[in-house]
Order: sequence, then C-alpha cells, then structure tokens
Amino acid sequence: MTILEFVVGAMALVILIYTVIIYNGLIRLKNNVARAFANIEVLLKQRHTELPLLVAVCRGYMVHEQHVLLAITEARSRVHAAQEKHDVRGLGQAETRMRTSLSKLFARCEAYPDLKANENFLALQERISQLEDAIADRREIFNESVRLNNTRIQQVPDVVLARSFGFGELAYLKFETVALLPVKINLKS
Amino acid sequence: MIDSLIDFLIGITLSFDDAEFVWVMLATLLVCFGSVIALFGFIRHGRIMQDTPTSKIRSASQGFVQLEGRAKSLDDKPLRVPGSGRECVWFDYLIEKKGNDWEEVERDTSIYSFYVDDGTGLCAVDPELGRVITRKKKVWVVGDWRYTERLIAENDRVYCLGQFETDQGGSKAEVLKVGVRVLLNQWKHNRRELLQRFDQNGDGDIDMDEWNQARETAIRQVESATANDYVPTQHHNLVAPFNKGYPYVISSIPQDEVTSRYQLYAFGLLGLFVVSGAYAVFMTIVRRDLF
Repeated sequence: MTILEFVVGAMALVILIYTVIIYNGLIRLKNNVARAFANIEVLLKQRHTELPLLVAVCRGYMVHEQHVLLAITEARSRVHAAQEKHDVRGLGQAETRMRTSLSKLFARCEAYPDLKANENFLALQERISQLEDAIADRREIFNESVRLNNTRIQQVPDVVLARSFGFGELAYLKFETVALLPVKINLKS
Repeated sequence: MIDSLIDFLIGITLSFDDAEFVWVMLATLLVCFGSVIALFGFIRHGRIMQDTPTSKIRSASQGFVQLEGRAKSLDDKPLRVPGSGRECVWFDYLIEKKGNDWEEVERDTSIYSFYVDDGTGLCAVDPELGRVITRKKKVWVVGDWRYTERLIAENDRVYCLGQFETDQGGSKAEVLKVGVRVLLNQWKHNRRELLQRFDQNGDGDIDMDEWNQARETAIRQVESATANDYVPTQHHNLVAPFNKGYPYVISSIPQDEVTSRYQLYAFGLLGLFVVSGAYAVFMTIVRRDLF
C-alpha cells in the first residue's frame, strides 16, 4: 500500500463515519417523531375508553341534550379512525371537533345541578380534562420533533442523504385547544 | 515561510534515532486517532442535543428527554460551597496552596441532587455521572491559597439532557409496612414504656405473644393515621441515560451556547486530526528508509 492510498483510504473512512452519523441522526429524528406520536396515542386510547363512561353518566340526566352527547360519540369515532390510519392532519381536525364538543358538554352541564353533584361525573370530568391537558402538552413535543426533523432534512449536508434515502417532511398536528374546565378564581386570597 | 517550516520538520524528523522515531510515530498516530474519535463524539452529541425536543415535566415520557427550567434545592435547603460559603444547588471546587507551583490541597464535586422546576412540575436531577457545564467559574487568591469554584446557583436557568424516570410513590401496603417498622423501633428504644404497655404477665420481658400483640397495635395505629392522609406521590428523576452512547448533560448555559462550544471543540479536534495525520504521513515520507 502506497502512502497516497493510505491517506485516501483514511479520508474515505472518515467521510464514511461522518455519513453514518448523519444517517443515524436522521433515523433518530424520525423515531423521535414516531415516539412522540405514540405517546399521544397512549393518552388518546385512555380517553377513548373513558368517554363512553362520561356519556353514559350524562345520558341519565341530560335527556334534552342528546345531540351534544351524539357529537362527542361521533368525534370519538373520528379521532379513533384517524389514529388507526396514522393520519396526522385528520387527527388534528377530529381532535378540534372533540374538544369543541366536550367544551359544549361541560358548559351545558352547568344547567344540571344533580349531574354536577354526581361523584362519578366529577371524577370523569376531572380525569378527561387532565387527559386533554396532557394531550395538548404532548402535541407540543410532537410538533417540536416534527420541526427539528423538517429543519434538519433541509440543511447541508443532511439534505443530500435525506433526498437519497427518501426522508421527507412530516406533518404537524394542529388542533384548537379549548379550556374544558371553568377557571377557578379564589376570591378569599 | 512554508519552505523553512518544512526544512525545520525534516531536520527534527531526521534527528530521531530509530527507537525515538517509533515512539514519536506511535504518539502522533495516537493523537491522530484519538482526535478523530473525540471529534465524532462531539459531532454526535452536539446533534443529539440539537435534535431532542424540550419536554414539559408534567407530561414528559419515560426515556431520553431534554428539560429546561430553574434550579431549585431539595427541601429548600441550598448547599454551601466549602471555599466561599456561597449558596448553590451544585458546586465543584478546588483549593490549592502555593509551593514551587500551585499544589492541590482539596477538591470536591457535589453529588447531591437538585430540582429543575419548569413551571409544570419538579424533576430531581442527579448530577453524579453527568457532564455539568456552568458559566460561573470563579478564581481568587488569598495569601498562599488559591480557590477555584464553579457552581449552579438557586434559580439559575438550567438545561438538562438525560433519562427521565417517574417513581409512582410507595403503595399503601409499602407505606404501612415502613410505618409499622418505624413505630416498633421507636417503642423498642423506650423499653420501660414497652413493658408497661405490653408485658401482660409481668415477667419483665416481652415474649413472642406479647410482641405479636405490640405489632398488631402498631398496625392499627399506623392504619388509622394513614387512612385519610395516604396520597401516592409521583417523583420524577433525571439520571444517566441507559444507552451509554447518549450524553448526560446538566448545563447552566443555554443549549445554543453548549452546541456552539461542541462545534468549536469539533473544529479544534478536526485541526488536530489533520495536523497529526499530515505529520504522520510526512514522517513516513522523510524516513522512507525505515519502511
């Protein structure tokens, strides 16, 4: 082996290792997005299980508000369908509907004192509101992961590998966040 | 200028005898390979830092995460740096005495955890095994003594990367078990009271039946004390990543500055790699007679 061959070989090895680091970085970014989505899915599944319980409790009291309950059931099915298909844009739209429907439901509940005094209802309302907050937080992490991925695949030298290996831009999860529980104001302090 | 540099290097290289040449060559190759390994390490860690999204503590998932918030001491009791006595949540100090040169007398690094508070929750950060990066480094001399300290002060903004774990808190059964053990230990330390309460046959000793009765009483007492108060409490912790290839960083300077530093180190190492590699090749050409 001549000195020139050795130098060229060493340079090629260094470039190869650098390429592997970039490629692994792109995989890591993609996996971060997948993990962030999976973390949202966990919460969506929990909410999917709890929503029928909430609807069942409310149905007994809100005889004249069946359309509100129906809207929640429909939104639940839409969220589930989008989630199953990993359709991020569809999930965003369905989630907006779900939050609007839940917000309406909780607003209407104010007119039913017996329902508001029901312990099961209060526990479910609290639990679902917590889940909604957690979903909103995790959406931020998901969108941050997507932003990092989309920025990286446009930068040099990553763009070369990203185009060669088909790393594309990923969609953001967009939905409106609606406050589900009225803000409590402590007048004593 | 370049010609005189080349002449200078040729002169040095030719002045080595065979044994010296081998050692210098080995050292040069070691620097060359060491710098390239470190270079890739900094590039990789820098990219991981840039590519990890910041999580909120209340909703962070278990695993490798990035957190940002304010440093808070555990139990509101800040540490004090032994040299200056300044309050902090983490410190690293060195005390040296002047002799022929500055000689190390004492050195210590805090291993005590502190909280990061991001407004949504608290997470205890274990600094042991972590790479702690701080801006505040202070050096001062008093007589023959020189003090050097780095610290993270209470309320400093900190940025951390590591393994996020949530401890769900003890179950009611565990809390009960520990409570009973503590209470029985307290009773054992006050023997007179223990005998008064449980020595039913008056022989001045606690036999097995009497001890079992004391245990039953302790269980009832702890059960009634914890019946209304028991609330399982989650504790979040940040520890060294399980995947050894991932960095564990605790920094009181912002992420952008840390990654800029890493890029600077990487450029330095790249320079070292190129220079040492070029010199190794140069030596081989100059001393071709040995190969």
